[in-house]
Amino acid sequence: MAIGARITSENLSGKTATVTFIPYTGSTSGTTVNLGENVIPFNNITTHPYGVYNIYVPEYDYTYTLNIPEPEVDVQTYVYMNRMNDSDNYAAATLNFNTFTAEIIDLGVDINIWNNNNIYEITNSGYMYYFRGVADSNDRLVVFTDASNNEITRYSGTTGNASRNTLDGGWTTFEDVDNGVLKYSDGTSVYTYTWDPVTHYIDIEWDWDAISSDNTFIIKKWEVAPLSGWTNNGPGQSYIVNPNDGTTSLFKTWTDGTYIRHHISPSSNAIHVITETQDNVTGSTYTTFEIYDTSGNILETVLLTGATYNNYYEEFHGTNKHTIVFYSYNDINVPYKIIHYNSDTSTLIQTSHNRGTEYQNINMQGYQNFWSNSVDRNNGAVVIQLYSGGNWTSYGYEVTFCDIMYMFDNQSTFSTYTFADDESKKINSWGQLSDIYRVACDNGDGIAAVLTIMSGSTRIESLSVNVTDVYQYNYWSLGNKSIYQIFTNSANNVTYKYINELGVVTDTLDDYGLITSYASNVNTQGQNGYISIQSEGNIGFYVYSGSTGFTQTDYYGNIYDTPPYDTNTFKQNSDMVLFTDGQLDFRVLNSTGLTQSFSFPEYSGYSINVGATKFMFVYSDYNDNNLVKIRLYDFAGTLLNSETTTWTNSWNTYGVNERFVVNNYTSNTVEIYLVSENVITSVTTQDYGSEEEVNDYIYNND
Amino acid sequence: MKILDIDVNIIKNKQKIKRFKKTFYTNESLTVEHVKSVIKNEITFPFEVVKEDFYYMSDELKDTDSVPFLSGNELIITIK
Repeated sequence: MAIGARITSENLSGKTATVTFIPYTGSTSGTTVNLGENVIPFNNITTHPYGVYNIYVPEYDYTYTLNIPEPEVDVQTYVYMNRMNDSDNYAAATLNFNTFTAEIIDLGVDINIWNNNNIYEITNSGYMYYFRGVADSNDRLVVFTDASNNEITRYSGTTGNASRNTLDGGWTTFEDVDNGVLKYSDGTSVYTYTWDPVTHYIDIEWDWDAISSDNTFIIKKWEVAPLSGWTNNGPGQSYIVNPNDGTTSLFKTWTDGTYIRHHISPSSNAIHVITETQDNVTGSTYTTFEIYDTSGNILETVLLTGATYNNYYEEFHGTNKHTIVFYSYNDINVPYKIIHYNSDTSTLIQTSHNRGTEYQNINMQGYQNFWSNSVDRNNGAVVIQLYSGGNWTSYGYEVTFCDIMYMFDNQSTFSTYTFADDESKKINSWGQLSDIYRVACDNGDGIAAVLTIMSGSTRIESLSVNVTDVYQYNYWSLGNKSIYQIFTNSANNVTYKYINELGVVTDTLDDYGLITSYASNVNTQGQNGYISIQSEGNIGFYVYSGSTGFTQTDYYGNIYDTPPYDTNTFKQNSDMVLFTDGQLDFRVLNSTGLTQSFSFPEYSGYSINVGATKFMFVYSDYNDNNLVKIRLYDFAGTLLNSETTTWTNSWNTYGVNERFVVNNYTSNTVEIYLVSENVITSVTTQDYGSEEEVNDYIYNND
Repeated sequence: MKILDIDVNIIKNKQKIKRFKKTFYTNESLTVEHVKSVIKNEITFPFEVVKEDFYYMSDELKDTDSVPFLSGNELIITIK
């Protein structure tokens, strides 16, 4: 975050001016601010100094206009760091997919002094470039950049221990352990936290995730153990890092024998704190569970009294929802203690469920609104499956007791469905969770089935296959629909079931004999699914959002879809490119069905990358001296842009959201292409030893 | 005893099917290999491992590395 702007002028230095300021955005957007009389140079101290300055100099009776543009934010980039052409400095070849420009940025770091080591990214924002000394590898240098990849600041230090991180894509951090310095950047500003490394060490809290939804993170500061050591982890404090100004404020303090976990998630605006009291003789126990806002204000306190709780399952789910189930690791007679908190409605729910031998096992599922998914599921739901012990079969656990507690996104209380109550059944311990919960089961009749729990109703649907015949099964979630795949006969036969949102089988591909075991594959994205079956003849089937059954089509052996990427909706593209290696024909399976067949040019080698709205085909053209060519298509199969390069060498590609990148390597040069619908452009560096990065944490870590 | 928490994620068909915390109470330094072995032995369903990744924050650790007594240790098991 900026701290202000300094207005300077060589010609007007010392002159008095009357200044008005019109910010571009911010709380005073559009409203003229009178900055009064100032003597040039002068400062405008504000966190938002971007806008138009009208500087009236009475001596000349003239108004000078100065424009300070807002910095770019939320920019998709790709960076490739290597040696600059005609320089000993490292270059950051920067492909900007907002401005569709390729630029060489001189990092001002000499390759004779520094080795490039790694690049850390902030999602759709800046980077942290990390170097180690050539002469002394304990010399460390980090260069922090903003969303345009312009340097904010740099830091260097000599330390034998340094930790570098990207915190869920919200911050880059560099910890100089020996000197007690933490530098952290949000892509706009770089902040500093210091401590005495003789007496303390720090630990960025990452017990669950590292940031909250407003980009708060937490630093734990522990006391270094004396020579006699601590009995446990030792005393310490935690500090909340304010995401708006980088300042730290004391949050929690503890002594040796007390252990505090702070659980935060990019999907939640709350901090969940679990306090554990350690006793090395009688055992440890959790004593309190507290919920705070990200400023450290207490919202709820739950005392974990009346029993010994020393383990838990938990899930952050949807947005601002969290459920935790405490239980006893060594006493199954302690009931489960279930706590749910919705910080949107400030609702705390406490309930319990018997454990004992009947419900000694637990699994829990929930999805937080952070990681993207092509499936159009509603992430607000949570499900807790409690069941007795039994043997695992090819179609789930043998259970005699099984209760499923659930709360869908549109519900505000838990409901419980009893699947088994002192009877012999089978059920899987995980299932498909969206607006429904669907799980494979045998309802006691020896027939493979699926249980679908919906908001207000349940259904058990037979799959018409004897459980004893099931060799292996799989399922794919298509939002609230499913594809179930059942291998029988030692996986030499396969059956498919298409199940709708109500849990009803609407179509079947029945008992196909395969040319070899497992010679059938499924690829799904969103509500799209493609099934290949190698039977007497190779055949394919597909479904899409409008399907009520499988539709037969050509066989394709290679299916391409998008890698994960950051989106505000947490839902990524579901289009799939269907292709077969060695052939030219391709189709696209999208939300409206399957396109007609298109044809790629003849090739001797190729790569395909699928992004959010387009896909890229890069190939060497053996009809044209094996020159490498680039083609960008939309999902209707329309060629959007193309380029013929001048090289025949190997290449490397990226397709991440709207970023399409092609790198060509020669013996001593690298050419880096930005590929877009309207612009294909490139820059070059020397090939000295590279690092490269995409500024998308989801892509890099999902 | 010191607390060492491991965040365990089990992935199947690109879907998280189980996430849980495993706490070690120990004053001894533990290797990644040891921690992985203990955790896999406690998973109660049969599974064929496709991939195992162990991270301390942004760094991937090798089997021979010691697991730091810090938060941010994560084991991701991808099963078939």
